[in-house]
Amino acid sequence: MVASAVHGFGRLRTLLPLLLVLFAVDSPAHRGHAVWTDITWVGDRFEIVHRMHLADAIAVNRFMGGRDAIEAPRSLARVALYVEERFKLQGANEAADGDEIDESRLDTIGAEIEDDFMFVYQEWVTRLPLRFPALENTVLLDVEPDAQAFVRILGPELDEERERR
Amino acid sequence: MARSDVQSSRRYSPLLAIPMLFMLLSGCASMNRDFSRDWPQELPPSNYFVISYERDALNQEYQALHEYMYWVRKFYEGTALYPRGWSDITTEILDATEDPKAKPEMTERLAILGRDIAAEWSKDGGISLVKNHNLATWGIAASRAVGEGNVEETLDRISDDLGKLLSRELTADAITVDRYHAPDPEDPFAF
Repeated sequence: MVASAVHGFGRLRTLLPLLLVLFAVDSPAHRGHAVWTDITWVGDRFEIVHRMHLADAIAVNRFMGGRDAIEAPRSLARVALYVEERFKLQGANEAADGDEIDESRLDTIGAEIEDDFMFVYQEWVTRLPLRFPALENTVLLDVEPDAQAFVRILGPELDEERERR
Repeated sequence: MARSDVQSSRRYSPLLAIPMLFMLLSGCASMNRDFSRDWPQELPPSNYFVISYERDALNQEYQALHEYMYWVRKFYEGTALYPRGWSDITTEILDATEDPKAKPEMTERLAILGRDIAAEWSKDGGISLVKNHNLATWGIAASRAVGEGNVEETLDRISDDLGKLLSRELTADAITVDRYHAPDPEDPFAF
């Protein structure tokens, strides 16, 4: 009995690395849902890049009524429009030169898949603001109510990070 | 000239139908091609226009995506009726821009303006707020601006008019060349 138990433990020790590998492979399926946004000043505009897991993008595409494969151009477009409708600048803002900025329209430029992520690209053509405006960001909340959002803003005197929990 | 002569000169030769038919068929064949496969690199990414297409649900009822993308390409490359496409207009303006420091900004401006016009004009003819004659008007205005040296002001006005057209503050018929340039008194065909 003891011998068989020891033998069984020995077998478990042999299997343990394999089990660990299996858990490691499986773990991404249980990762949290989130969208990461980088907003970068490039001299005459802000470039805005949103990044989400491909699994979440697939859910968004279905939520938007898409039935095509996520790689299809129309699926990419649907996800981009979903982000466009849920990521907005709020209100006017003072420019660094003292005038008021009243143009707060973001242009959605495109979307692409790279590795296990979907990227959505937007831009805000504007003068440099004194402070980056407030954001309305409800991306992913329709499909994953607990989804987090992380925003990083990079620009002269503008560097900051914002978070939605 | 006798009345019958006038009538016959207006009649099309049956032989003319052959190349016309060929042109139409080749147009249909290229319209049905997969647009993403051979999208020209010098054009804005095709994805931008797919997003524009998806944005207009009404247009989708009348026009398939591949038709829309076909007309986007034609906007840049030119058509049989309007052989000077936006790419030609861009080249003409950039060639005339002497200050090398001004070229990158002008390139960017033309790219954004072209993109915005293409996204609307390429929709189904009954839906699009930008009509064929608007393209012709803007093409003429841009060419004249090169000659007169007021390209920036003209592009500003075209951009402003496009915005008003899209927000329905202006109708397509209201956009004429004299909005951008005073009529030339020595030009007998000036309109």
